[in-house]
Amino acid sequence: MKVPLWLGLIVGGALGFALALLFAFPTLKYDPTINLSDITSVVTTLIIAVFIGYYLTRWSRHHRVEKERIIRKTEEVISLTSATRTVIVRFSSGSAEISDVNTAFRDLSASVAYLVNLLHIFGVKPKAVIQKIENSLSAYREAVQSDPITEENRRAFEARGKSEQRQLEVHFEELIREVNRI
Amino acid sequence: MTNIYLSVADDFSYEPGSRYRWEGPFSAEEFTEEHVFPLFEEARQKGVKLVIDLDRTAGYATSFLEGTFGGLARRYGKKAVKESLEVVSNDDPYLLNFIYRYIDRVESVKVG
Repeated sequence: MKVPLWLGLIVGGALGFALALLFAFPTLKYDPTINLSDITSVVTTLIIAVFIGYYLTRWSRHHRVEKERIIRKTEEVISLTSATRTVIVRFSSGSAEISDVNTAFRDLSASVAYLVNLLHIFGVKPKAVIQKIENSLSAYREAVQSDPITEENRRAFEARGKSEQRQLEVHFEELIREVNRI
Repeated sequence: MTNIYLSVADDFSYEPGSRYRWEGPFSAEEFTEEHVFPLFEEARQKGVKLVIDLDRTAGYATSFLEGTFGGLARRYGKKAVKESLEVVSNDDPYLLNFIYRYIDRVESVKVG
C-alpha cells in the first residue's frame, strides 16, 4: 500500500505523541538558554534532509525505469535488425519477395525513429551514438536496396549490406553502454 | 489555391518496386512518367505544391526513392523541386533524409 508522505508524517507524529503519553517517556524540556535560531536551524535541516532523501529516492527509481525502458527498446531494435537479414536471405533463396525486404526495412527504420524519440523524451541525448546509428542505418539500406535486382544477381543479394548490418548492431550496443553509464 | 495531392498507396501501388521498369512492376520510372511528372508540371503552372504522401505502403527501396525524387530533380532542377514539392512520410520518417539527399546531390540542372 502506498501512503502519502504528509499522511505518514501526521500519523507518525500522532503515534509518537500517544506512546509518549502512554508510557510517560521523559520529555524534552525547553531550556531558555538555548538560542531559538539554533532550534530553527536544526529543525529546518531535518526537514530538508527528509525531503531531499524522499525526492532523491523517487528520482532515482524513476530514472532507473527510464533507463530500463530504453535498453529494452534498443534490444528489440537489435532483434529487428537481425530479422532484416533473415528476410534478405529468404529473398535471395526465392522464398520471399522484394516487397518483404522493403517492409522489413520500413519496420526497422520506424523502430529506430521511435527509439530516438524515446531518448529525447527521457532527456537522454548521446548525440554522437545516435548520429552513428542513423548513418549506419542509412548505409545499410543503401547497400541492400540501391542496386538493381535481376534474376541473375538474386542469389548474390544475400551478401549485400552484411558489414553495414554488423556496424549498425555495434552502434546499438554502444548506445546500451552509454545509457548504462548515465 | 489548393495543393495537388498524390498518394503512392492510393494512386499507384501498395508495393512500390525498384528504379527501372525492367526490374519489375511499379517502378520509379513508371511512377514518375505516369504520375509525378505530369502532376508536378500542373502544380508549377498553377503555382501550388505537389504533395506526395508515402504512407500506408509496404515500404520503399532506396532505389525507388532515388529514381523518383532524384529523377524529378534531374528533370526540373533542384530549385524548382524544393519550391514546389512537399513529401509526407510519417510511417518511416528517415525516408525524408534519403529524399532530400537525392535531390541535393543532383548536379546537372535542367530547368523545365
